[in-house]
Order: sequence, then C-alpha cells, then structure tokens
Amino acid sequence: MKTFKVLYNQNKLYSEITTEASYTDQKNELSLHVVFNGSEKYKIGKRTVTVFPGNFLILNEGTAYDRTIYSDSIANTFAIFFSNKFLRDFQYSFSSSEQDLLDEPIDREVIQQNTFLETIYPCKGDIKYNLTHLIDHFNENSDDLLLDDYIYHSLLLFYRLYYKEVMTKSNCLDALNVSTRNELFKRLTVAKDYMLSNYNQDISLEDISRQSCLSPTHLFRTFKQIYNCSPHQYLIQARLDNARHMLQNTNYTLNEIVNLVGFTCPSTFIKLFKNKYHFTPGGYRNYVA
Amino acid sequence: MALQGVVMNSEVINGTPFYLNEPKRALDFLVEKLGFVRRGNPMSKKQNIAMLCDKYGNFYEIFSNNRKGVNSKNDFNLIINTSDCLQDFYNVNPKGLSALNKPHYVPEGLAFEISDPWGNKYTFLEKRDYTN
Repeated sequence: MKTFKVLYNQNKLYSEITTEASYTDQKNELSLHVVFNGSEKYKIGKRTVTVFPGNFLILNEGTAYDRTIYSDSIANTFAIFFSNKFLRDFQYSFSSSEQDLLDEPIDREVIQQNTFLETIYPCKGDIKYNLTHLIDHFNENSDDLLLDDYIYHSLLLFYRLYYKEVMTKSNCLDALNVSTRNELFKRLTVAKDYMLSNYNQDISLEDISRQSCLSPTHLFRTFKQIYNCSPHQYLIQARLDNARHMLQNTNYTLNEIVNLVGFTCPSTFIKLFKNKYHFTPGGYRNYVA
Repeated sequence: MALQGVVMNSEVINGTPFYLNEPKRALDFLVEKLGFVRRGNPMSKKQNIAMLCDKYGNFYEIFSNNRKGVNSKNDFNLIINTSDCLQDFYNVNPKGLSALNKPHYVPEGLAFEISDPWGNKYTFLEKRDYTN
C-alpha cells in the first residue's frame, strides 16, 4: 500500500507498506527516509546502504538512487521530501536576526548549507518521537498545518543531529588539514554505513576496510577517534540494537533472532545482551510486553 | 504533604496537587477550554476545590492558592502531561488561548506554556524517555 501527500507548501510525505518493491532512477528534493519495520535498500552511485529500524537516511536534492524493498515480513517505510522554499524559509529564520525577519520576511536568498553528508543517522530520542507522531498523523489524514509542524520539527532535529553526528565528530579526528579530515570522515561514515547495512552478515575488518578505502590499521585507529569504540564493537552494538527491536516488535524466537542479527552462538548473544541492557533477552521481551 | 483525595466508587483516588489563582474560574477554564473533566467529590471542602481528570486519565487535585504560606500570584503552574505536545499546541491555538511560547525541547521532553486571565500558568509536557 502506497500513500503520498503533497502539502500546501510543496513538502511531500510518502508511506509504503509492502514486502516487495523496486524503484529505479529516483531523484528528489532533500529527503529523509526511515523504516519502521523490515528494511529498505538504497543504491546511491556505486554505494549500497540498507536502512533498518532505528536509523534513517538523508539524501540530497538531485541525488540519483534506486531503492528496493524485499522482505520476508512486511516493511513499513516512510519519507519526507522537503521543498526548496520550505528549506530556504527554515534556514532564513534561523540565520537572521528578529529585526531582519521583520524587515524582510520573505524572498530573501540565504547562503546556507543545502547539501548534507548522505549517510545513515541514528533515529533515536526526539527525532524518533517526532517521526512516529508524524507517521501516525499522516495515517490519520490530519490537517496539513499539523503535519507541517512535525516536518518543521523533523528538520530542526535533523540539523541538531547533523551538528552532533557530523560537525562535532569530524572535529575529533587528529588530521590537521581540513580537506584531509573531511575526506577521512567521509570514508569512516562509509565504513559505518557498511556495518549498519550488513550487520546481519559475517563481515570482517578487511571487508569494512576495503569498502571504505582505508587500511585496516588506519580504519581501526581513526574509527575509534570518532565513535569511541572499535569497528567490531560498533558492529556488535548494531546487532544488539536490532535484536532488541526484534524482541520488542516481532514474535521471532530467540534462536531465530540470534541468526537474523548475525550472531552464531546463542550463549554469546545472551551474555552480550545482558551486559548491555541488564536484562536477558527473554527478560527484556517480558519487560516490554 | 498528605493528599486529601476524592472518593470514587468507595475508592480514594489521589491526584497531583496544584494551587491555582481564582480556582473556580480557573476550573471552568480547564473544563471548557482544555477538556478536563470534573471527577468525584472532594473529601475536604476546606482545602481541596476539585479533582480533575485529563483525557489520558491523569488526576489533578486542585487547591485554592489562599493557603498559609502561599503568597505569590505568579508561581502557580499546572503541569499537564500529554502524549503529543505538538498536537495539543495545534489544538489550543484556535481556541484563542494565550500561548506563552511555542513547543520547545526541555530535558524531560517537549513542552509549551499557556496562561489563563487569572495568572495561572499551564505547562503541556510530553515526557520522553531518552534512556534508549
């Protein structure tokens, strides 16, 4: 089932609930893509990223991409397409003084960043609450103005997250030269996206290093500077996060979840889960039921 | 402070206590403008003006501010828990209520404030769990 809505200000909302779908040569405005169930695969140039629940993907205006949903269970995906005018107004309102906003309320060009790092961002905290409310109101066919409030807050929260996840983290790198630092950060996000997209596969440090065009040693050292953990620890965390989502939202058995998230040994999984969340997987499922 | 509570079906129910200026008018405001419902009978008519219930089933025990030791006219703030702050803000706007600010992020979640004509302030708070 597909639902599409164009708001009065040309912002667009798109929801799709399906087990199988494929779209090629897509090109839109700046867009935010989130998955509430199942997964969605995006091919952006030579790169492939898969969005699972707990994350969202940002695509810039004009980026060409293919997207595919192929899932055993029903995938529930949702996207916001921000109109250029809305973006311009948003940026203007945040970059101008109150006096300027009163003197020139509309149609003023703002030189602001319109392109963002196209990567997977964590859908946690306020942005998760906001997107959950937005999709609920979208499904209830709420008024445009209310939907627009949520879109505004989604963008606001994304800017805040962008500052934290990109601007702040990239400054943690030791590289002195700005262009070197930016390139290194970009490659590290490719490594991170590869792990988040393939967390359920048997992937090695060499695989990640090949994907990100960084030597294993360089990857290991610089990854830690940004994410405060090794690539292996990051991968384990992604597996545990997804296992927790499955425990809460599916009826898969424990052994099925162990296999689905890429662990090979149930006892290792239980031990790691308990260390992280202070619950056994079964205890957690009972707690959230 | 021990709450006085209300008696409902022989059961004493306690609510979060709040002190309001001009409590009778403020109560009408809460019922007519914000959709609160009066519930039960106050056990102590001297102190407790009314028990109110919001749409989520939360109870609020309303007191008059004319208590000993309570002097300020501006310190009365009723915190209204909501599950959807932006929707509530959207809903209160057409009712001509005086919003003191727009929804903004606070450490507990998302909130905005409105006031009534008698100096009472009402904070709509959507509490959010950030531990995950």
